[in-house]
Amino acid sequence: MKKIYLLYLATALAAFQSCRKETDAFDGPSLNDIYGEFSIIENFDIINRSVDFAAGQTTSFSAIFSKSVSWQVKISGLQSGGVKYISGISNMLDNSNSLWNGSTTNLPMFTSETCAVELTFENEIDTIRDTLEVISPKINEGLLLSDFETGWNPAWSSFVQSGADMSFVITDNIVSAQGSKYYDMGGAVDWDYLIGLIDIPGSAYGAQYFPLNNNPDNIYFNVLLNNPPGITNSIVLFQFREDDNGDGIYTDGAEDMFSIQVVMTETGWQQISSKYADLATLINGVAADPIGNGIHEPDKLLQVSILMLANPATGYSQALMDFLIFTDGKALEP
Amino acid sequence: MKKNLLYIVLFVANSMLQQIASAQETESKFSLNGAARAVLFSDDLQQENLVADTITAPKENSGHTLVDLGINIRPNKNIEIQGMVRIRNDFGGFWGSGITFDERQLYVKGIIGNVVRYQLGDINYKLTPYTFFNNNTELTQINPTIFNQFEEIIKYDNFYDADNTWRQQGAATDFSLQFSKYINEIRFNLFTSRIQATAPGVNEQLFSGLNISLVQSKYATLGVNYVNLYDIAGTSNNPATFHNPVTTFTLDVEYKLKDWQLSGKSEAGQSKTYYDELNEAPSLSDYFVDGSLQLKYIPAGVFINAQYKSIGPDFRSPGAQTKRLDFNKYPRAYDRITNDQVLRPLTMLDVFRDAAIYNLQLQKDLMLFDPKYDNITPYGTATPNRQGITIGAGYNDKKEIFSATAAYSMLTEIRGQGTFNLRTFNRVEGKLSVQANKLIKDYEKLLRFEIGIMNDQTNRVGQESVAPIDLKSNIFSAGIEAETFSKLDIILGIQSVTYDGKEYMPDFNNFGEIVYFNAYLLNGSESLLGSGLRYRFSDAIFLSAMYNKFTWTDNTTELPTYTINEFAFIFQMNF
Repeated sequence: MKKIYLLYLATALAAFQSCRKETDAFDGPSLNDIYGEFSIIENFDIINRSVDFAAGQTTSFSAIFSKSVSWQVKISGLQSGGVKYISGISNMLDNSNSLWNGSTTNLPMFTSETCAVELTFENEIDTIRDTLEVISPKINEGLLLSDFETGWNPAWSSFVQSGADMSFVITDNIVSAQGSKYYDMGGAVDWDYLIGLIDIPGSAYGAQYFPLNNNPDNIYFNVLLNNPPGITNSIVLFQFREDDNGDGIYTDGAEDMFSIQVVMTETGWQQISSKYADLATLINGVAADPIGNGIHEPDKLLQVSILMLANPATGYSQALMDFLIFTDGKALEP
Repeated sequence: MKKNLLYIVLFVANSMLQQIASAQETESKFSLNGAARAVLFSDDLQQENLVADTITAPKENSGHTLVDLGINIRPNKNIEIQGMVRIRNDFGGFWGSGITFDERQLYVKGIIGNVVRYQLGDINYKLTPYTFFNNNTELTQINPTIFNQFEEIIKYDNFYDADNTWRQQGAATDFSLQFSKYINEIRFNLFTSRIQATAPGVNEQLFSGLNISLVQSKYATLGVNYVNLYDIAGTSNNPATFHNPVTTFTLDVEYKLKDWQLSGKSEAGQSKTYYDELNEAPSLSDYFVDGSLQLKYIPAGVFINAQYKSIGPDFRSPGAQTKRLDFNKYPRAYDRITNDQVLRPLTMLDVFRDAAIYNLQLQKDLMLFDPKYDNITPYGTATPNRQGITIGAGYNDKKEIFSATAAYSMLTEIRGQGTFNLRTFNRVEGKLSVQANKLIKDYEKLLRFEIGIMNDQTNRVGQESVAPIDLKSNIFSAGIEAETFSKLDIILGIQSVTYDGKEYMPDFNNFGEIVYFNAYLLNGSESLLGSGLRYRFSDAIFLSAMYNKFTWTDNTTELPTYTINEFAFIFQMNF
């Protein structure tokens, strides 16, 4: 009996010793975040006010708030019109949550310019403004087919129908998505879908094939397109011809031709990016069986063609194009 | 001829004896049991509106008569079958149109080989306060007899037995092994019940348990308990299955030394709550310990006790934490009041008399509660995130004149909610009843007084710009039963609850995680005054008529102060 009581007392003592208090966490959201008053404890600041993105520099922002809030930093290029949004929910801004590497959220891309910086908060009236200087913009790594800044690539070829108001030219009439120039494709052709086309051979970049990684899951094709206001009928078709049998030429109907068809609906600059492995075989805009071996082989890419299309019954059509680039590992972050 | 006549007489006599024996045997194999009741409420609502309420009908009458008719069949000494139907007629039903017939109870039980007992169908079951236990309802622990009559009806209708069992549908079995040396007995109890039937996207859910008790001697008992609320995979097209196993160990000891008795109870265990095939669901696990000691001086009937418990914030035991009251429901009487037809929240009056606001099944998640009625133990003994001690004392005299208990609890949270600061909880409670007729020489008639209090306080210091918590609630009750003429009693009672302060009530997501806190301001009171007459036909039959006045005031809501004057009539018979 004594043993049992000793066991009981030992159990009771062990229970009492189990007094515990958890001080490193609490359940649910912070009450201070829900009901606390908002104030800025440490003023908003820009860590690097003159940032050279081309040299690999970045910048970020700092501030401390009295509670965790939903905040947004808006960076607007005063020259380019590019906009970058950085947002989060926290009680502070620092390098971990507000790093800017020069990329843009809304095209155009930033250029060397002064940027307006604006910090706002959800459900709070406070707005803090400042500026920073972009010494040189971000460099986007990859195989750049063209940004049209240095003119037409003589290794490219084009065909333009003899329709009305035809304009297959490099221009700077409006703000470009990158740099100052872009390619304008437009015209009215009432007998054919095709308004004009551009053929870009791999040889334009120093070799028979485009110098791309052989892994189609790592290669991305990117282009920036603009649908001008009032245009509702433009279709841009990108074709990727592979030399499946390695004979140096593309054989129609026997080798793979993958496509991206972009039906332009929204106005303004927009980014089109597609993983090479996701490129589809299209016949008249409809998915079809592969023409060749059906294997996505970017290292056998012989030619890229860009076709400007529109329903002939719909009249004038137009699309603007800029910054065609193959990137490796991830889609373009302009 | 005489011989033939003798044969005939013997044959008839034998037949008659067989019939008599058969009749006697039929009597023992078949019996009727059940209860009958008639209840009538006549309510009158008075609101203190600035603009008179022209929409809500101020007077409401409701009530019913019912008979629970049970048939108990014992085909042999080892099998018992019980079936019970309820015939209920709500007042207002006419020519049978308001009558309902429901099956209220059905079970088969018996003994296999004089060793294993079993029960199939409806089973009333419990294990320990941390595994499977039907905790008492808020506000009812100290209510006086006059209001207790209503509570008894609710408990009877909802199968809330006095021993805190949960009514389940399933199967249970138990058996024991007895030993001649070292230990007296090992008892085995197993059960399983169905909590949720299969539905599209909803898996079948069972609650199963096991208890093994080792009775070492009359001094000590060791036990192990295991319960699990779980979904059965594959019973619907939903691959996610819920699991909540709980394992506990108990040790009860008792020792007598002359006139002193020392007893101890302890339980410790752990729980785990998780989903299979649902990656976004969190997994919770935690443990608890609970130990108490009681020292009793037998000749005087006085005892003192002390308890320490620590229940982890993530300890989840649906069998022990499911509440009776469902605070998501609204009362049937005057569910909307004022010209704006605002929903009337649950009150003490509804808790006492409205069976529809109660929950009948185990719930996998912690249920909603109202801190003004109980902010310290809303989920009973196994309320998670509580730690501290309770000390108490009591007195029960041998002549059964005085009965008194008092206790003081000091608890804290283990983990904060929305802040690192912890709530502290303090409770003072006491109850006294006096069988006053026994103090008067040769006075045989019933004369009984009772009084009870419960004072709760919750505090938490503020943090930054978040206001502190300072919530107080007080419950007071008192009652008198006085027999006038033979078996005719005057019964009087009062119960009040007052509350004042501020709390932050959590909102949970589908996985029981806190996602928000609602600031909850409390400042109000409720009181129920009652007086009536009761005639006791026997211990099992009584008739009561009473007049109660309920007043509700809350200074933090748009609802006006209101009063419900209630005339109530109860006829209750058990057979």
